[in-house]
Amino acid sequence: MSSFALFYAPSETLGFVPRGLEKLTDAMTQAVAEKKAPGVSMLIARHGHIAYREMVGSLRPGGPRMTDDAIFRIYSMTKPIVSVAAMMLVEEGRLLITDPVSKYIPAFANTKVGVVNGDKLDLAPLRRPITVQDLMRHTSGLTYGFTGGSPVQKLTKAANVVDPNRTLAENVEAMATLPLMHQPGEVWEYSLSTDVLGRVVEVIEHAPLGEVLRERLFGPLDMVDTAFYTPPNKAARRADPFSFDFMTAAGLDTRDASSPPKFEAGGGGLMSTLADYTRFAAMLSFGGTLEARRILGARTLAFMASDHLDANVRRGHYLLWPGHGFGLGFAVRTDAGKAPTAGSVGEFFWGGMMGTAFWVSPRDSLFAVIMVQTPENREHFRVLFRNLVSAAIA
Amino acid sequence: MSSCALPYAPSETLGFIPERLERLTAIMARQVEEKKAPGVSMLIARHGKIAYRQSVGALRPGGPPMSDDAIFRIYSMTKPIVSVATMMLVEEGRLLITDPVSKYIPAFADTKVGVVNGDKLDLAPIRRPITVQDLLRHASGLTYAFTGTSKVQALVAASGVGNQKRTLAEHVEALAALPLMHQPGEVWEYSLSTDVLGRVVEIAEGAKLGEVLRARIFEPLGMADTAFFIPPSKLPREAQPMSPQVYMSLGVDPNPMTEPPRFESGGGGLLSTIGDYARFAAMLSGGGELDGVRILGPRMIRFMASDHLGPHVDRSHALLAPGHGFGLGFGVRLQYGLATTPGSVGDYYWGGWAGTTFRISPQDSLFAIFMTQAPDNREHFGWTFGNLLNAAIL
Repeated sequence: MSSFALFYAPSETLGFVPRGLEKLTDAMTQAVAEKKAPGVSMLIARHGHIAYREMVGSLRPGGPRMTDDAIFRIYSMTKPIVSVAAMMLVEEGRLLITDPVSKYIPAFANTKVGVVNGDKLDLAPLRRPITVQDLMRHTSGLTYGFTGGSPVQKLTKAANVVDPNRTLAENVEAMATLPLMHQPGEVWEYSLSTDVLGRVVEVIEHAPLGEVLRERLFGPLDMVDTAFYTPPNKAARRADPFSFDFMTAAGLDTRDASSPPKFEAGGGGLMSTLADYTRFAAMLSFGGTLEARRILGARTLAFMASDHLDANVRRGHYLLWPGHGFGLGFAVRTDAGKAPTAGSVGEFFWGGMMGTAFWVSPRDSLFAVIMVQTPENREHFRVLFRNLVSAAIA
Repeated sequence: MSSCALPYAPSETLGFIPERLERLTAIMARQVEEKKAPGVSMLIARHGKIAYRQSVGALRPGGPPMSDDAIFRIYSMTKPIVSVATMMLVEEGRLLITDPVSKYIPAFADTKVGVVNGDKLDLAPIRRPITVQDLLRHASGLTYAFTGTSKVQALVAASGVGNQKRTLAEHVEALAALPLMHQPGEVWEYSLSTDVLGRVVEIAEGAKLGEVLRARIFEPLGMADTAFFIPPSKLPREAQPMSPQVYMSLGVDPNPMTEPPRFESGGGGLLSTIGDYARFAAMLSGGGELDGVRILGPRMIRFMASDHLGPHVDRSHALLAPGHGFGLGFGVRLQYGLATTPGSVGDYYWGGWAGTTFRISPQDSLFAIFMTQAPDNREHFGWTFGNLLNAAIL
């Protein structure tokens, strides 16, 4: 098990009200008592020190207590990791965010846009190529099969382009044959874009995505328990939800991933621990370095953590919080108000479908991670955690 | 050859990561190996000192190594120089940016706006006069022949504007007889505006543009190799593209001007060196002064480097980078995200058609210059340089 990289300091020396943090623990205990999740694990760091770290409940239904080293399916918290890997290639002059995706995956040169015409779906040509920047900020026009019932989303679901029996290359090739839901650059649409981005990384690196992430990030950052699978000797550490039905319905059930999967999903395939993701978040919070290892330049990171949605981009999607924009792999808070939780402008973050979440606040020199496995209640835990952390700031 | 004038300092004392600057050199060497250009020359300065200066590759295919005193066609990097000369006249009370251009060039009083009407081009009167400010910020309604194929652009192309058969005065007179592409003040349209501006300067000064620039800027700043031509004695220092064909296929004479040309183009006619342009950039970065020579006041520089496009101005032109506005002669960065490379709000910049570019960051007390002759790869080089420069900032 990897360490948390940071030292502890009394929360009151880091600008927290200790009683406020106790209330956070109480609220999570209550949520677990109400069977909203089997257990929760949380960490809050500020000014480079850990102010708070608590575990509540059990590792899985009827299982042992939630542990320090529990392994969680982090789903879309995979996306920031793949985005960072892509930006490392940008810093090495091997990728430009302005590059058309078809430069790396030629099939995307012929992709069409689905235009609903009564009962039919007409196909329109692309007005401009999909760029790598579009993939990172979810304006590629791609969508997901599980986020809605539009004709293109139904086609996406039916095509099963997240097929575990195919490789990333094969799934992405299949994605390129589907119509897009929007013209590139016009709508923020949460999507398979990061899976495509993972494939772009593979093509440039000539290596499977899991290997690239291990060499570039998990190794250097000492994220020893982060991978696209959980090996049998770590199976006992796996946190489970009350039910996998929600994930099964979305076609994203990974309960049995005990060996390297054929499909390494850059959009959501990773498993990780609180300690490992803390190390990743600390690197982000510290301007691209952790323990003297530089992953990205501070300017590149600040660029990623800035809003990349043009004023004309439609932002109505239910997964893009009000008062927020989207950068290169993260949501970015643009307004002090409007949002569903308190917070500071400039905060950047994302979460996973089974309830894990993190955010980094440059302004408050703060980051926090919550790990939980409960897809049905993910939004509840996310908002609760953020409200109570904000309430605990002195 | 002029000296670069600025002292060197170790890059780590100026807030750079030295090994990441070495990476910049290595990556540019790789671009040269891939034959994207025969060679490149780069300079980065911060806090008034040079942190980095490297020349990579050859001066021309099969030629000697790229030298520090290589002479490049800087094309549109002429525009900021002519804009500075104009603002000197403003500081002397001899010109107002609110002046109608027709005050200096009466023919512009009768200019019409082309309105596409089916196959015809109707002519509408101008709703308000073109001002000097419109020329400086590319909102005059003028266009370029090479940036598109609209009816007005076709007329501009057919008129022969820009050839060497006529003087600046004659070209500008001919231009005033052509229809504008837009009503003044409505659209950011990259254009011949700076050529017209050069003519305004000539009229205000009663002298040829090259003479004005020499007396006001090149001599005071010690820019000994900057002119509208390259004298035969300096031809061995001329940087060239991969082949004459690169220029010829784009309609440009591969043979440089070796004597003062008939047409002195304020929009793109200058040749210069990285050392010379560094002196110009150091003057801008230094608030209008270099080595005790004051060119402009700091408030005037700040005014020029601020966005001058109103909220109603159409900014969709491909050459106006996302996240940027336009000041009096420079593109100006308005936000951290959305752009094609990292950078800071307030950065101002421009580039030349053959691949030269520069940027000045007041916030970071930084300026950087990149020179190559590779029109077909100019964006690739500009973006790669921007990415790697920012990656190297601590």
